[in-house]
Amino acid sequence: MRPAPLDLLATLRTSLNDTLLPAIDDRWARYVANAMDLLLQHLELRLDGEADALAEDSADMAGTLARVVRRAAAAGTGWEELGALVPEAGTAPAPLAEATTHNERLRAVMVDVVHWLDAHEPELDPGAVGEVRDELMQLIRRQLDRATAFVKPLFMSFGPVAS
Amino acid sequence: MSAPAAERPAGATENAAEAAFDEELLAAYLRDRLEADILDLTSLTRNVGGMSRETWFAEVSGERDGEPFTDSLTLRVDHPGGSVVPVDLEREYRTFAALTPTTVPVAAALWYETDPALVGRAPFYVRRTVPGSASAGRLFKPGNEALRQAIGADLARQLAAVHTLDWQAAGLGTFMEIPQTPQECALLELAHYQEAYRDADPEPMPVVEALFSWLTRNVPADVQRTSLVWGDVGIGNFIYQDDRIVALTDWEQAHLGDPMKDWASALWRGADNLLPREEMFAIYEEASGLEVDLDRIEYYSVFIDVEYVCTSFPLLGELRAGSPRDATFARLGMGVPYYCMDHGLRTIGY
Repeated sequence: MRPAPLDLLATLRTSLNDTLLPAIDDRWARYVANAMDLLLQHLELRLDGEADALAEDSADMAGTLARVVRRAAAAGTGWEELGALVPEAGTAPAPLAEATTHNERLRAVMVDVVHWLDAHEPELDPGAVGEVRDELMQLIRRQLDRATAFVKPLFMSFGPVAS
Repeated sequence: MSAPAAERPAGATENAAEAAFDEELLAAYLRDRLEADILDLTSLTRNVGGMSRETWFAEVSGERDGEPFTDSLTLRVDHPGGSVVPVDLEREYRTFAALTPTTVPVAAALWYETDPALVGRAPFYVRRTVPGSASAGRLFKPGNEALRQAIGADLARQLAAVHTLDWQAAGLGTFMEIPQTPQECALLELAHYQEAYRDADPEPMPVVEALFSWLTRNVPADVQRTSLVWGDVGIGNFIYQDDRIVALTDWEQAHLGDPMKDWASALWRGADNLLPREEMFAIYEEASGLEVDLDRIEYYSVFIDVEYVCTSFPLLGELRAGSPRDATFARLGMGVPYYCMDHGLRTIGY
């Protein structure tokens, strides 16, 4: 159906910014309306790129986790349980909702791996633990970069601002 | 936890349409509590900015024993969906009440109420509004450099007062957990925030778990003094008059622990834009007798990232559950945690 969702979002932002916001005097209402505009900007980015980013993220996780398992297998005794935490990743489904579920399943595996490392670190070779952690942290950095590309319009720090 | 434009009595606008209190009941309640014969609620305005709870400013005038009077009061109440911070309102009130008679300047705590029949909502508490400004904008106006520097110096002195307070004598140890080891100064609080995060059952977030893990594995093994920690130090979180700080606000994240956490909070929120950090540290060390430790400040900088993640990310769960809330919550629930995850990860080298 046309207009495309992105075009409709642009229309909503135009009405909000050109018609509604200039007419709002109440400070709290302006604060809310500005938050609405930022959320609309975020939605524009999500609509445009979320499906591709999810597919890239899931493939990155599957590849990294497979490397971690291989590294664990080569590291000797004590690491056997780690392999069991990581199932076959399979192929990421295309529909967005299913792709999200698949992605979250892989992220849950990563969480399990982080917890496993914390619990077993004292028994393991420190060098190998460090290498596995570094590989996971680099993946986490890439993941966060992918996510923050969508969230940046909403970024909110607490530094000093003119108010 | 407050947004940049924090509690700000001056300049808040009328917002009667948002008023969720029964104003007639509120006026009657305040008349009774203030022992007035006649009382008018002349204005009730909601603060713009602070997000942990709702803050309302009530201005009243009336007569008591035949004499006219006016008063300015602040009401704190949880959002209808609950507080953003995992600290109950009564603890916040008790912190204010414990600090009211001490040398740490805070708004005087007046009454904590649990009966919803009183004003239409409960629990809530009332404190006396401290006249002054919390405006960051005013501090950073061109030409206000001397004011900024004076406030920066006073902030360092106020931190010294908080950190050298005899918290046992003030009664804070009766409702705040007391760390038994240096590590517990961080780990007790970390456990508290982890619990709040997990209770919200968020989507799996490897980055958050990695930051939890780093904080646990790198916990400081020494602390110079177990102090009262203000918990949310920043420009906008104090009231100033002229060039002096007259009240410290935003105590909802206060606890007993390592004073360096407050310096991490202050620097995280750009307090060194008031006065160079080295000058603030020198004033603080002289006033408190405590030494500033940059390594521990860096550790607590990551801690604060995680704390903000744990308080704001769970908000998204409420949206997911099909309970739409104000757009500011969605903005807060995404904008703060992702910013903090990024900042935390960079601080630990990724």
